[in-house]
Amino acid sequence: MPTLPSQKGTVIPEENLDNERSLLAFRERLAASQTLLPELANQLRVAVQQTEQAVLEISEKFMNIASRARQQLQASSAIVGTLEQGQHAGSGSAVGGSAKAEKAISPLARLAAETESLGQDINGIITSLQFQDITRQEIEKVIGRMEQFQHELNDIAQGLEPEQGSVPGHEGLQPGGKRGEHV
Amino acid sequence: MSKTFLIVDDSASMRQLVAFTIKDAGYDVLLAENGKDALEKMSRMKVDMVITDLNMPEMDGITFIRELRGKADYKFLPIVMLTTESQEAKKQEGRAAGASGWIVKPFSPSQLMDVVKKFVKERGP
Repeated sequence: MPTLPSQKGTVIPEENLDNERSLLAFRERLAASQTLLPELANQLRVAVQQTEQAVLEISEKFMNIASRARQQLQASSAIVGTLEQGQHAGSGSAVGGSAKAEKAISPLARLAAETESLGQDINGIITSLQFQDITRQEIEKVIGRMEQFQHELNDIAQGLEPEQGSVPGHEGLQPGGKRGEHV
Repeated sequence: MSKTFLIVDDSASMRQLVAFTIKDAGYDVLLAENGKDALEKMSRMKVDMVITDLNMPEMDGITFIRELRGKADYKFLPIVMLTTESQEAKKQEGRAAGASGWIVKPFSPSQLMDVVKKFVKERGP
């Protein structure tokens, strides 16, 4: 069996050396991925924060609209109520006044119904916006698992570190996958 | 005197949404970003009901509930958790910690108020 002298002076069988080289190549691939997952995780966190900010702005505006719509609904309902009371009580002293009230009641009632429907739609949007928070929490969970996965890969890479000089031409790797220099 | 609600959530948009609904019903609102922040605020102000998220940094909702139930003043304080469908285990954990009830996200403003009314005895604020 052909053998090669190691730098430490012992003799390593060539088959073992091939295994060492394969492991070394595998370790280098692992080391190269060490920065990829943390970078992706950071990018995800930034994107999630931006989405959170956007949702905050959207919901704030819709809540203002909902609040105004509700005030409008209350005002419209009050006017309709007053006009109807006036009609029933016959307080439309002039026939013309009663006719005007009659004309106003129907559009106001329609406006009130429309406002109520608008408010329900806005509530629906506000409810749907909560999916952003649910998604954010799910993303956080996935990022946590990705980071754990990366941590375990790093441990494996660490375990595959060959003894210094055991593989001819191997310069050794520093933490983070950067090539080190032989001393 | 109006009742005061403490809303605890690390999500600004969720705090805003819950606060808007509660304020709209005529109650006062205090906000906190996590359990630690909430405990600090409760040490200074009287609170009549707590609505808290579960997953939060610094101090999560479960730890916060346990801390509150450990204090004599808050043994009977209504505490409602905000959960999601996927957090069944957390929900059970929260109940064991002393939560009074829960609301599953996403919820509509009226669903939130239905739960709130169960715990606030008076009809109005």
